[in-house]
Amino acid sequence: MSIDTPAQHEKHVKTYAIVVNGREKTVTEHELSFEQVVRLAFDPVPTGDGVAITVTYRRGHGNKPEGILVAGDTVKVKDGMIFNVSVTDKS
Amino acid sequence: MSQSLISRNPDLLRLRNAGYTVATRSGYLLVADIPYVSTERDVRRGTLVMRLTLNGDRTGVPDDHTTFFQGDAPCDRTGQRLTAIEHSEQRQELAEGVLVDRMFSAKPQLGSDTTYYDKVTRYVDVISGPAEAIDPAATARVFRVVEADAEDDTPFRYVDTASTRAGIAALAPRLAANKVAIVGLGGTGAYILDAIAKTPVREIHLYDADAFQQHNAFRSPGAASLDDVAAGKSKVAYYAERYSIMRTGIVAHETYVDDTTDLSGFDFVFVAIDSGTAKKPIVVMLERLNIAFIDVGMGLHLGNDTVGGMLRVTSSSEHNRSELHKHVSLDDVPNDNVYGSNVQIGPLNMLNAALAVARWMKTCGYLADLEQEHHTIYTVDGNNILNVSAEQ
Repeated sequence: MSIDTPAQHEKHVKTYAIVVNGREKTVTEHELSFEQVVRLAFDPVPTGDGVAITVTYRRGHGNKPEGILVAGDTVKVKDGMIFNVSVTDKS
Repeated sequence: MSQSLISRNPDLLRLRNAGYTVATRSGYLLVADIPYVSTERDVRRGTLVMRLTLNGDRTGVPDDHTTFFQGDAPCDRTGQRLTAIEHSEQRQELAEGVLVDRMFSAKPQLGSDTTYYDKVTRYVDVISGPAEAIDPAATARVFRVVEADAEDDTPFRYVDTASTRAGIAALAPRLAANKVAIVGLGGTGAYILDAIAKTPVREIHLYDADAFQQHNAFRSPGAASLDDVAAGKSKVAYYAERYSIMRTGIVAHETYVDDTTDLSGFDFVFVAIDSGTAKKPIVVMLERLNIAFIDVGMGLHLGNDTVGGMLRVTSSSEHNRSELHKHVSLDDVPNDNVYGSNVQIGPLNMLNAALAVARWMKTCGYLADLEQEHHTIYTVDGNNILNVSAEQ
């Protein structure tokens, strides 16, 4: 069994194909924070002290494949994971 | 004539649920719309009148096998009187408003009638059988509308037979809050009203300053007419008029809610408005007044050609005030059509409202509530519902 040289190893950057608000995205992070997920959906990120953004995910890793993210949370990324990001303020 | 006695007695309720026109008056059971064949061989309608065995407001076992009848002499299909059941013919007033023409006596084949249901259906078979032979559509089971009367303590103009039919009328009082407010009568607020109006809540107060316009009709329960959308009425006036057709207690306030509005005295409030900045003083006030409330909101976007997004229902009560602040925007998002859009879809307004009303019904102890979630998100592209409860 050969050992990868540093040069060979650099080419194998694991990417994940995820879906954010119905659109496919490619990320290299193994774990995404709430803020990073929001940035994938909105650029620039909506600001304001009172702005609360709703984030859900599903098809994530086995122990907690689906859930809601709030500010400060992180989640492990998995291929095929689906995120939804919205300001849920319309009635 | 009282319907409440009927609602409270399974024996009489069974008759009503089967479609018979039942009422009680001065201790008598009246079953109207009974078809029979007259001596002239045409089909007429009469009323069976039976003495009710009563213990307070609980009916018991019929005390005998006879019945009175208001109507002409019933016959077989050839016009021959049913002498086998005739006992006597005498017009009399049994009690105020209870007039009869004759009396019948027919014993059951075995034993005696143990319920009024059995006794009534037995006489209907004999009297109406010939009528149905002449005219197959002639039935006593007409499902006539059951109007409410002063004795029935209800905001509805006609009796809630849905609850009595399903056997859940005993739970209905749990929903009989005195005063509920709906702040914002946009798509979601209107569907919340549509549901709450059909519960025994005594007063439903509507707050919104906007006019009901043409585009609103497409995310509104029911069907607005051309005149409705052209009228320029306020939303609260439009909805108050519509729903007052069915019940009393709907109060229209043609105004937005701000920190000068007096929301004290409400048992529960639904907040269904668009603006984060307008929401902030409302939330602050409801927390200060210690009123339980639910805030709803949807965020939709155009993905690759299809509409996706999420619906949110967030509760706030004296046991839990801080959680809402994690999930609900109390600021406006600048340029917000970049971040989502103003897209709202009627059926999603309906679903958002249904989730909110179901959550309220759980808080009332009416629907089962094992998770006691205070925050719920429905994700459109996954059709899944995620809940946040205290234990998490």
